[in-house]
Amino acid sequence: MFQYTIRRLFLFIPVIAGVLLIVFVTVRLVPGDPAAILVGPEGTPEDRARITRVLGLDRPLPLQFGIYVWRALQGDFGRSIFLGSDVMKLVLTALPATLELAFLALMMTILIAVPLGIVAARNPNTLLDYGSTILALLGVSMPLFWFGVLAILLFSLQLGWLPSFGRGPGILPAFGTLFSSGSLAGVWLSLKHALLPALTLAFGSIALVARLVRSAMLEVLNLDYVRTARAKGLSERRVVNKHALRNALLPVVTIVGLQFGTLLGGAVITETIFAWPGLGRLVVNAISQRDFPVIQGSVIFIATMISIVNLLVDLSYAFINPKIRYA
Amino acid sequence: MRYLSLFLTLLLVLFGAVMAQDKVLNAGLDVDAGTMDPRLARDTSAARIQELVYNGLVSLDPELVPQPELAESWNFTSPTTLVVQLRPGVVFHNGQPFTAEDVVYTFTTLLEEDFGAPRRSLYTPITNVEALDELTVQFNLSQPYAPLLQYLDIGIVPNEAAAALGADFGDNPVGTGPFRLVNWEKGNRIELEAFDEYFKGRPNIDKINISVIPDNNVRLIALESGDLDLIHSPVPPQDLERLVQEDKFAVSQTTALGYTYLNLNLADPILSDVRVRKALAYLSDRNALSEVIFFGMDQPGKSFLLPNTFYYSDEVTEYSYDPERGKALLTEAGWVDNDGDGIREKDGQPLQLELTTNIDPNRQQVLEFLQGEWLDAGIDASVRVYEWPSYIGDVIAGDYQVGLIGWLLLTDPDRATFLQFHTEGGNNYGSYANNTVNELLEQGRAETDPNKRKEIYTEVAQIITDEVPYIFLLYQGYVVIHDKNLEGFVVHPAGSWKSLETATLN
Repeated sequence: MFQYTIRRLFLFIPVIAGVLLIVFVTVRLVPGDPAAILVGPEGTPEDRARITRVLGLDRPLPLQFGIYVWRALQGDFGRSIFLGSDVMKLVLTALPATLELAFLALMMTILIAVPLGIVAARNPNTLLDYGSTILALLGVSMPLFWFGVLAILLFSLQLGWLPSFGRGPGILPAFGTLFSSGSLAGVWLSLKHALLPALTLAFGSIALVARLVRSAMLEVLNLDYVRTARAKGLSERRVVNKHALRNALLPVVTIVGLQFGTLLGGAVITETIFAWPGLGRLVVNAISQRDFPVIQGSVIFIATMISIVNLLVDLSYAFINPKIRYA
Repeated sequence: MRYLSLFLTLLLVLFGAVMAQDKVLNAGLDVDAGTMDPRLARDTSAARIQELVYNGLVSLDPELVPQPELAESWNFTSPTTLVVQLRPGVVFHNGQPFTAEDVVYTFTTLLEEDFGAPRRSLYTPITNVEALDELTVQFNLSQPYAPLLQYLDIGIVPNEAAAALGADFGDNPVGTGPFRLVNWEKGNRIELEAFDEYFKGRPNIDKINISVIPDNNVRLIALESGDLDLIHSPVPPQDLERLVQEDKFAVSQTTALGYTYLNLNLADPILSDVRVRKALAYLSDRNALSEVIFFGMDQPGKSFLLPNTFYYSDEVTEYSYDPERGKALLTEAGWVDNDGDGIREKDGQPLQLELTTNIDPNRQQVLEFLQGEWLDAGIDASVRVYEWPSYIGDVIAGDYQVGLIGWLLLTDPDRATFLQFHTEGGNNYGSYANNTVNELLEQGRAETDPNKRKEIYTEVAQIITDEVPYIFLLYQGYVVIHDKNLEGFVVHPAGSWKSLETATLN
């Protein structure tokens, strides 16, 4: 297992180098010149030429790539063209916000979708089952931005329960203050801010995973060994939770792992609606302004994160199903 | 018992919060300021916030007349020499006194090629700036340059601090302005605090928290739910009517310093015929655009001379909506529908025009509206809407037929015309060429008498109207909506929030 992990970690290098190369070339192939956007329509051809030179974008592409990789290896991912700040600093500031959102959404997905799927599978073709199917259908087909704005309208404007935008102090730092000063206010505020965006983000995943759990459970519940377990006189609760669920969970874990990537992607829209200061918004802004260094830096980070999650998913198989071993 | 102590603690915290209540203004913006270095500023958000953190030598009042700010007085000692007397006793946020050296440093670095200032070309007629003494500076110009004073509202940075911080100065601004930056989460939130030693006196508002909320609807909801006290354009036009009726908010509207127009590419064989261009102008119902799409927020446009400014003129003629006249002009130009398919043709070529713009719901609606009108007149008009970076690239390259764009921050008629209509102008995307216009624009730039300038630009406006390189559709509107607790906020056509230095919050 240790060896397998090490080998997988080494595989990260070509993956990330490949991602970098593709991003580097793509952003420069897509029409749109950062110098033209920086000086705006008011800029003159001289202005654009001058800015292009100052940014080093007049150099040959292989040289630009070489310089970028050389600096990146030393931890220098350059400066944002539009924000003027160090890219590393921007990414590291935005990252916790996005992780917080994706993590909460993932928690919601698991805590809501798995029980929902199990209940639906145990009562197939009943009102409960149909209810969860309708919910799932809504979740998959409703666009994120629409659901988000509706949620804000209801909970912030009509009911006034939750803030309409932004992030609180952040859940992790707020727990820090809770332990150091005993003040719950920060945690409460952070959760209030995070609830709507996390739910918006999770809605689609909840639907998908609930359907998946339902069908996996239905399949497993009809298998011989479950009948044996029931015949042995085990309680239904034990049959479902101990015998059936474990086996039904394997495909679910794969999807939940992949969902993490989807959640990071969905964060782009959610973060824009809720003015959540995360990586998704940073990337979207960077793309719409052709801020090359920021796009490159963020994509490398996202690619690394998704690679790590995929590895964790693969490793978790061994825990769920002892038959799987990595040698 | 445990709950009781928790309750007491909570009460104490709440009480403490009430005791120490600062006057905090929560404002919302659609985009973050790119940088807080005024020399590098390019977007309107940066301009908004920099006006609070810095002072310029002058500031433009709502009528766009330069008023003394860090400059006490100024005097053109020759057409190419401007001597500025500076205000004594001003300090920067870091405690350093403000002197002539800071002015020299600001403009010298701004003009350095490698510094990368996006708006450098507005200042290039300046040869150099020198300090005559501690509080007097002299601007030496290479040619008479009338608009110069309009552009001296750019914030002055402190020589030593800016030089020491280099590229990091934009993240750690130091100005002389009414508010200083306390915290800046990029792309998210800006926190400003009143500057005790501000030379006009400490502002009444203690803190300004500016949140960046990209979605126009969410920003509006945040205002309505009380999370924000002030927002400004862009505001969804269809919501405006409802908000005006709300008792809680003050809604102020004015014309902004910009217009939205159709840029006709004169290099295109169809559009090179002035009769076709005039026909398009007659076929565009600007009143309907203003009313139907913008609910009156943007007003019907006429020329580049903006209403509510000194240079506006009633004399310039306009194309009132007249489809019959437009169709007649097309026929006169040889475009006739011979095969009865509803589309006009000439020499076997159909009359096809592509209308393009960047992704923006209102701009798209404008083009779709025009498409319908033009189709009725026998023009096979199509609409293409794509993202800004690609679109602006195509416009710059002259790769378009009819482009819907806007010009902003036109604080001087020179800024609305010289680069756009001069044959050598850097923004003359549609290849417009007229020697009379060239000469007039050069005169207008050099003339210092405002009344003479007004005559010159009125003449240019009439020629542009007659030759139609642009179809001026709309004068952009500017809207501020704020809680009525904020008093003394003055709406400014440039979108300035400068009056927050004297406004009060109840």
